[in-house]
Amino acid sequence: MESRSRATGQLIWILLFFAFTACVIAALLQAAMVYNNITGVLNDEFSIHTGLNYVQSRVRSGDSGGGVYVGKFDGIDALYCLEKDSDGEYTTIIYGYDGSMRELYCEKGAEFEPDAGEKLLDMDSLGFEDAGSGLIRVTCASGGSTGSIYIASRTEGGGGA
Amino acid sequence: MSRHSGISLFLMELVMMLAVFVTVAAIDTLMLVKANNLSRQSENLDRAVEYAVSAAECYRATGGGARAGMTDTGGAWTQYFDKNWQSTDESGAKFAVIMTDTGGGAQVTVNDGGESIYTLSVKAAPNEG
Amino acid sequence: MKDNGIVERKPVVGLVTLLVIFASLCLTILAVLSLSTAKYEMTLARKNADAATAYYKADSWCAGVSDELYSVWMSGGDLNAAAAKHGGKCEKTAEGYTISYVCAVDDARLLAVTIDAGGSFSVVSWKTVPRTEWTADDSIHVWTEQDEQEIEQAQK
Repeated sequence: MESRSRATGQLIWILLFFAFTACVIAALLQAAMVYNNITGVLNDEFSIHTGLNYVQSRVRSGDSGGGVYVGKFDGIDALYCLEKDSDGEYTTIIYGYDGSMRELYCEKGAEFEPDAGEKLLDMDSLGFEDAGSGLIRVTCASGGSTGSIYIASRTEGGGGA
Repeated sequence: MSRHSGISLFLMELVMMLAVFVTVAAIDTLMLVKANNLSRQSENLDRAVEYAVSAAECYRATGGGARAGMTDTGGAWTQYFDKNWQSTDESGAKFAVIMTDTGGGAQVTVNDGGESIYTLSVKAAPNEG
Repeated sequence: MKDNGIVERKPVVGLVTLLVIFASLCLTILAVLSLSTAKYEMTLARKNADAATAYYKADSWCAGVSDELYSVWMSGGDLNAAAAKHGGKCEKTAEGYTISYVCAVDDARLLAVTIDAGGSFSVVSWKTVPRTEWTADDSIHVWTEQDEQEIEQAQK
């Protein structure tokens, strides 16, 4: 009788201890899930918002003489920003290739492979479309999230392919 | 006696530590909830700015919002989105992008329910284009 | 401790305290990290929104000036005076006039507009430019042609 009560007492404290431990672990896992959710969304959305902002800044700083237009770079949708100086004409080409947004600065008409561009951001896809009337539609996707924005060229000749 | 006092000590410790953990967990849960809300608000603000800028650029280029996917509702251009910022109709909408003509320009407002998240004013130069 | 042949285990005092201290620390660190990450996100989003608002404020001002210059050009008025009124410049060219003016967007950027007003009125350039020119920091001596010559001479 006494030995049974002792065994029961031992069992109770062991069970209590494990129940408490399980609750503590469940609370920690919940907190980790929330943190994971916040940082996961941040990473995906960061690529999209930063990418779109960067393209916007590029268009706004290069909108001169119809020098901003949509085209194809080795069959890939690309945005061209043309600039002229005393040395000649140069283009900045922004495109999506191999899971990232890339930028290539070269002489106008020079031929390069798509992997020659510098990687700017990780991005699943990047698309440029001429929406007419000088409007350019930029769409991008990263980690299940997508974003798009319209940018207008204020100068004549800009926007179109 | 010592056996009973051993278990009593353990149970007392368990109860005290339970109280401590519950207090700490309550405070941390409040912080996590606030963090989650802030994250949602910043995401909504980013999206609101994107759609407002799209509407403004469209107005600059065309004088309206049709190219940006907006609908003319007589005096204003509107576009509705659900809680995940997917395009939807007015009945299932949480967010609304409204562009109203202000005579020579437009004002773009992004609303979350009845509250304005972001506002932008744009002016078109009729001589352009 | 044996009692009547039965081994008795005493509950380990202190184990629960250790567990709770560890769990509390983990929970608090996760909560603080989440909150600081979310606050950083919000700050970034607000800066982005403010930058967009500032750009469109400048853009609207420039559009207003462009509209005014267009009216003056259409009526054959004095483009020089109209440009000067808004701090701009007007230069005579073979085709007509080239008018340029700027508006501050924020501490780092200006919106610079150039318009050709001759046979037609067209916007040549409407772009953001940095307020200050970037200058290279050459305070640290890294490598010059003289260093290369000195090494060549030393090798000889």
